Amino acid sequence: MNGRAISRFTAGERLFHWVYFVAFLTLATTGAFLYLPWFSFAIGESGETSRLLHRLFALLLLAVPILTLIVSPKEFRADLREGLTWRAEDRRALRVLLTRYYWTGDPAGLPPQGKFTAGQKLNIGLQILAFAVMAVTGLLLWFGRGLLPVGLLRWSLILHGGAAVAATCFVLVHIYMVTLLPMTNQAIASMFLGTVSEEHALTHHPKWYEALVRRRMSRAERRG
Amino acid sequence: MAKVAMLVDTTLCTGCRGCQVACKQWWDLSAEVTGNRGSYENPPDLSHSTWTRVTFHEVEDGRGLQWYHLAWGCVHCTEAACVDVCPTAALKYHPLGFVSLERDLCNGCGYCLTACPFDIPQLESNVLTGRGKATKCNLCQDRVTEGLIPACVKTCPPGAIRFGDRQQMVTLGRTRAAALQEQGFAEASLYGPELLGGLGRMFVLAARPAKYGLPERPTYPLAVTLWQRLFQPLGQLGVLATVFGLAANWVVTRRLRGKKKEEV
Repeated sequence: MNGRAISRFTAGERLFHWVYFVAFLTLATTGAFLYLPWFSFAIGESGETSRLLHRLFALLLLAVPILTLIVSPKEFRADLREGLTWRAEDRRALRVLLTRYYWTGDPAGLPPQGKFTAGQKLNIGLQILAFAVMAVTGLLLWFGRGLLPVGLLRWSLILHGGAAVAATCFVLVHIYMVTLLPMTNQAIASMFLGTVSEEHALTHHPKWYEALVRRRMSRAERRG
Repeated sequence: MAKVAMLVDTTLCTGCRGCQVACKQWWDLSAEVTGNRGSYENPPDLSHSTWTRVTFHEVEDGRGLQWYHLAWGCVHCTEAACVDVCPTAALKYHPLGFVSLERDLCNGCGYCLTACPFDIPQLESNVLTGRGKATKCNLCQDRVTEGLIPACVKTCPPGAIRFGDRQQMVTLGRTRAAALQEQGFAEASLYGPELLGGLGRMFVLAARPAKYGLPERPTYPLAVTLWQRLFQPLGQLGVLATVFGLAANWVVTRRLRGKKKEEV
């Protein structure tokens, strides 16, 4: 209804996203059993099982980037590079997004965005940072007991919990924006079908869409 | 309920390790394979099956070679970091003034191991799966709550381990330390009555605590205080604030966008 469907994410990219999502939810829940005093259902045997699940899904989460690098290395590296590159216009865009667009839907003054908007870049950057902190501290806590100084373990636990809470907040915002926020929630189609409408591509990612069209045209020319 | 406590008079201890054996018998803990490491001290550390252990310390000081021994195990802090970090309440403050442990509730997370300033709780768990239970002296919670004395106290041949009303134990320990000082043990002291809110296992020492392998000033770990009192509540607040923020955004966007549509 909004024009043609524009391919945005390959099956590999979507697989990466959904495995990460399921692993994250499981880790957040089994972690919360240990973090929140009023949420301690997992006691005794069931607690041991929930801790085992936490370890299994941690391995899954750690495997996600490696697997994606094997399954679709080109897209993964391109996404990472694009997602982590902050240009002056991105910083400007972020200011407009956070102070106006995400509240009023008014795009005035918003610089044209690439494959990832400044808001998506913020989510990607923070999520990767939290992932790195949790991966390192998690492995220290898993294998370091009895080997590492106890002070290091105490601070690792604090960092691990802090990063988990922060990541949970980003994920809540992310879920909200692709389901309830009317300005951005059409984006969710790209994670199920791999495509977005032409209109969404033009309004939200014009620079990316233009590049896509240009590439397609030059390819057509070459084929002659 | 009046608080109880244990008083270990190291000057009466003969190092027979009867307490170690009585503890194993009462709690049905298996023996461990021991080895000769140049000391009577065995096994080398507390473990999942050794909750009480006599430690031996050979120290050369002004009076020649001294041989200090100590019936070591959980000291039952009044301000116990292990209890505060335990996510399943397997570790609890017992009204009688000791730190009880309910094995069935423990999920083996090991937070108590990293929190304890005395390195007491032990956890024998599978490194990969993390399955296991933390263990430590529970002051014979089953005996004490029924009016009996702990197994180690009952068995101690020279009567070096005493048990009873906490205030009485403090008075007894202070009197004993003063008597030792009069006998020429200038460094004699009672260890524990004021540490970490007051220990439930106190020691009459003839020399500085360090000579017995005890920390001179054990403290409640700063990281535990920050975690429990600051970061954990702050984390919950953060998630709550995020949810409220999103709700606010939902209301605002619907209002503003609705207005825009009317104008159009």
